[in-house]
Amino acid sequence: MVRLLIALMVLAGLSLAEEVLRLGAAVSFTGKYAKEGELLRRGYELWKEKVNSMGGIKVGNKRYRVEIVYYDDQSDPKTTAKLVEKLIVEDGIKFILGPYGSAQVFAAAGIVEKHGALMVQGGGASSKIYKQGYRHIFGVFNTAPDYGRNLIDLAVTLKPEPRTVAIIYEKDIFSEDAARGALERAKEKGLKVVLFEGYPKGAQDLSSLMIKIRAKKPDVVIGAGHFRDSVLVVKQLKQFKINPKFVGLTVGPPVPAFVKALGEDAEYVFGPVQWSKAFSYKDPLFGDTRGYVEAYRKKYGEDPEYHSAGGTAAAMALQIAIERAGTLDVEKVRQELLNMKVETFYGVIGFDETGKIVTKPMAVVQIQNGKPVTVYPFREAEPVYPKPAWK
Amino acid sequence: MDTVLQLLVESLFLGTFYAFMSLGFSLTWGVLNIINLAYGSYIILGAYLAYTLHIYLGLDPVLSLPLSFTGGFLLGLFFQRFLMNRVMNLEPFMVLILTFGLDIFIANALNLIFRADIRSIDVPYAERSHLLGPLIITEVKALVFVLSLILTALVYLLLHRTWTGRAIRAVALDREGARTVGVSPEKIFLITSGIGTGIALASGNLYGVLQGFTPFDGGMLTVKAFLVSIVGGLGRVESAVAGGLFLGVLEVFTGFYLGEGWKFFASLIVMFLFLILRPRGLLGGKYYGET
Amino acid sequence: MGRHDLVVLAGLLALSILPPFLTDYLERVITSALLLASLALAQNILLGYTGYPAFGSVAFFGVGGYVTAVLMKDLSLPFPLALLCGTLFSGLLALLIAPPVMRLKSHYFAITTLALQLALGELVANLEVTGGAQGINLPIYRGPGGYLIFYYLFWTLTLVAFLINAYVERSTFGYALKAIREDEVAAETLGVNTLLFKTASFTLMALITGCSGGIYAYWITYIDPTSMFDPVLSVKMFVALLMGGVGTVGGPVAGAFVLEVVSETLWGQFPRVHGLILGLLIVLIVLIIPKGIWRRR
Repeated sequence: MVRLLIALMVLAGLSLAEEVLRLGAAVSFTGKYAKEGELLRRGYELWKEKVNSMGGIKVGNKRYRVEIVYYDDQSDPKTTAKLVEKLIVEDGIKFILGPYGSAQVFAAAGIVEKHGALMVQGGGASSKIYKQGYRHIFGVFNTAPDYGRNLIDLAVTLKPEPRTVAIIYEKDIFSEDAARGALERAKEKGLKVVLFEGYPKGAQDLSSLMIKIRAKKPDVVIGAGHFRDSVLVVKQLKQFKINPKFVGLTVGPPVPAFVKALGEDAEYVFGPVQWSKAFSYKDPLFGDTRGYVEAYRKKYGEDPEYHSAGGTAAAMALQIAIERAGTLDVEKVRQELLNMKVETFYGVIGFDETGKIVTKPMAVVQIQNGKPVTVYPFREAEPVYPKPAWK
Repeated sequence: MDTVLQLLVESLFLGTFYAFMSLGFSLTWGVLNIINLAYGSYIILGAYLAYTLHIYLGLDPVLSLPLSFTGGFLLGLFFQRFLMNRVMNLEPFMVLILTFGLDIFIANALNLIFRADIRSIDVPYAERSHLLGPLIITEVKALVFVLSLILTALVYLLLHRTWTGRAIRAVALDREGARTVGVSPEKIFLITSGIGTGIALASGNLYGVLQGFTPFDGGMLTVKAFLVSIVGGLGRVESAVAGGLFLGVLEVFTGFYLGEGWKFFASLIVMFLFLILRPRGLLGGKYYGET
Repeated sequence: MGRHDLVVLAGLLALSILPPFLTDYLERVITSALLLASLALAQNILLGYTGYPAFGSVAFFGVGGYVTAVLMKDLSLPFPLALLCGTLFSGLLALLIAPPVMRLKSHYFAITTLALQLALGELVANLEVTGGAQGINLPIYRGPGGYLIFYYLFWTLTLVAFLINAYVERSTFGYALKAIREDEVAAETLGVNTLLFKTASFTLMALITGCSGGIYAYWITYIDPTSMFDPVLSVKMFVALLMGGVGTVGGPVAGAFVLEVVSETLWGQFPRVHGLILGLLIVLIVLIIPKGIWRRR
């Protein structure tokens, strides 16, 4: 019965929206960022289905059914640039949904700007993206230094108070930015930074860094990188028998694959998140945050985390701006994005003149019993600290 | 001091692996005068073979070493028979282009089959390690070290204690001279290519145990094999060991003191300088090959 | 110049009046083809006439591109000035390294230049000023003519490179280079200052290649070390050269157009197997092209 209803709704939606609005996205389906890219795509797809089930995007008096053209950028920024150029020039698409990863977003941004298209993205957090003077790039992620700041802010509230911190990062515009956030906040809070060092993107062996950390015995280890880096850092910390009281890693921990890859070793690792399902906001499409979480669970069989949510939020922001503009004119839609201040399941979405979101907080989760639970700034559960030694 | 000691151990482990890994490259260059730019992709091919056998048959990459070697041996025969034999008399530069094309082909074929994701062979002992005084010895690195040592010794014995080995060395020194004493250079080329490719794929098993890999990591490995071959001089096992240890020390120490990012740069600059200043390598001397 | 070369020249000239009839997409394909042609023509001076295969000539493409990019980005230099600096810097670098590098022959020479290319790529990836491995976004061109300007920039560069090749073909300078190609020792005994001529031809190659890199960086907007020092670009350039005919004036241009059109079509139609086919194509070309093409037809 329910299925029938859904089918009817979809059919109704189809008949209402005869015209098609094509959006384009170059996302990493393979390569280093394959996991994150897949989560981002899920966020876009969930939004697309929801919008189409409700009759499509309303532009003036017309309704458009949404289609998304995807290409795989293989986690390589220059391929992203080439594909986005293909989307705009060859496929004639004006509205681009962002790729995953700051480097990819950065590369795509130049191309979008060059061709006067418009991109809303929920995949790149580096502040460098917003320092280019671009007018056509909008992002729903708080900038990367917030990742590092939130981890340190949490760490200094814990007892016994940590005194030393080692920060390692992948050399990439996002990770380095996040690491610098942690570095500055650690200094402000009076922590001693015993190591601050980067390693090249794609490195698969961090032995020399581990030898250094092992010699310094820090209370806190912060690792800034992407999903693959999070897994690698945990494995190598364990391999080198390094047991800090606090391990905080960007990107990896909230991703379900993190626990799958590491099993028990994932326990008690902290990770900053752009959004968590413990947030609570009203939403024009899904009702509220819980409605979003349920819709996601129903479609994918697991809980959403922030990479998917960011994708949905970015696409929603674009949709709302198009509907408010009542036209597909890039400049008018851009103006609506600048004027926007709307509450969604993801938080309040509003942008400053550089295009970055300025209206929402971040949070920190910790893996407990195989699940990420929010422990900061509000508490779903008490944080476990100091972290027990590796098994 | 403890740190330096630790770094030396890391250099030794890594360097021994590099020595074994580069033997095939050095051998085909020394005997056939072919610089095989696809060599790194052969290694990665071996890593994927071991990965596949591990995933589907649960075969430990150490146990699948003979399979990788055999597979590589046959592949080497195939490439030599149908590809290299046709171009060996061309300008050597054309062979470079050809093998580079082959490298692009293999990397993209792997990318098509396995996608660009980073794979790793998750053996049960992957994260195990042991304390030895102030040193920490990770199990996989120690294992790869011991295996590389044994396999390198086997190659040495093959070249020095068997008729085939002596024939290979004879052909390397003087092709026509070898023919007059009844050794067919063509046959030796086939065998050498087989052994060289076999070594590449077998070292892929070890590489896959050591660290994660993607289809496009071959180029970097080719450069390493090249550096090892040129530092020590071509073709001889002792030379490869010297070159391998040199590269191990270079990588571990630049990685530690200058930063991980400078490792590959250091290797390349050293390679560049060697080519300009001492193209015959440190140990010098023409042993194999006429170039 | 032979009849074939004149046909190519006519074709090249015809390209100057073509843009009003082109779609954006075709305009981009032809721009890429002209880029590849400029690289192949540059290499031709060295390989075709002097007999030295600079496998890593793309090193100068990267240097030209990065110098142009950094000067525009950090010092806000206008593009023409930045491009001039990028071009001259590439030439200067070539001038400095030519004497030691050009003592090597054949594949040793090839590999050495390739090592240089990769090393420079790694250097750029590690330096702060070049934006490291993350790459640089250049300012966006907003002047008159829009992106068509790059079509004409590459067209001009290709034409200039073509004329240089035509000059080399029949000048005393060219005869000296060809003497080196045929027998370096003999040339030396006959009183040709081989080092001087080899260095000149290497530097000329680097100037054209560096200029091409500078234009490319501004055109493509986003550059990173792997795209500016890409060995695949080196190989594509050689394949274009081999297909067209090494040591001919028009061949490199013809080869570049054929390869780029094939490669773009493949990329557009089958982005996933594009690399696979490119690899196969390279292998086949080396196998099929008769040895004769190696030397001048």
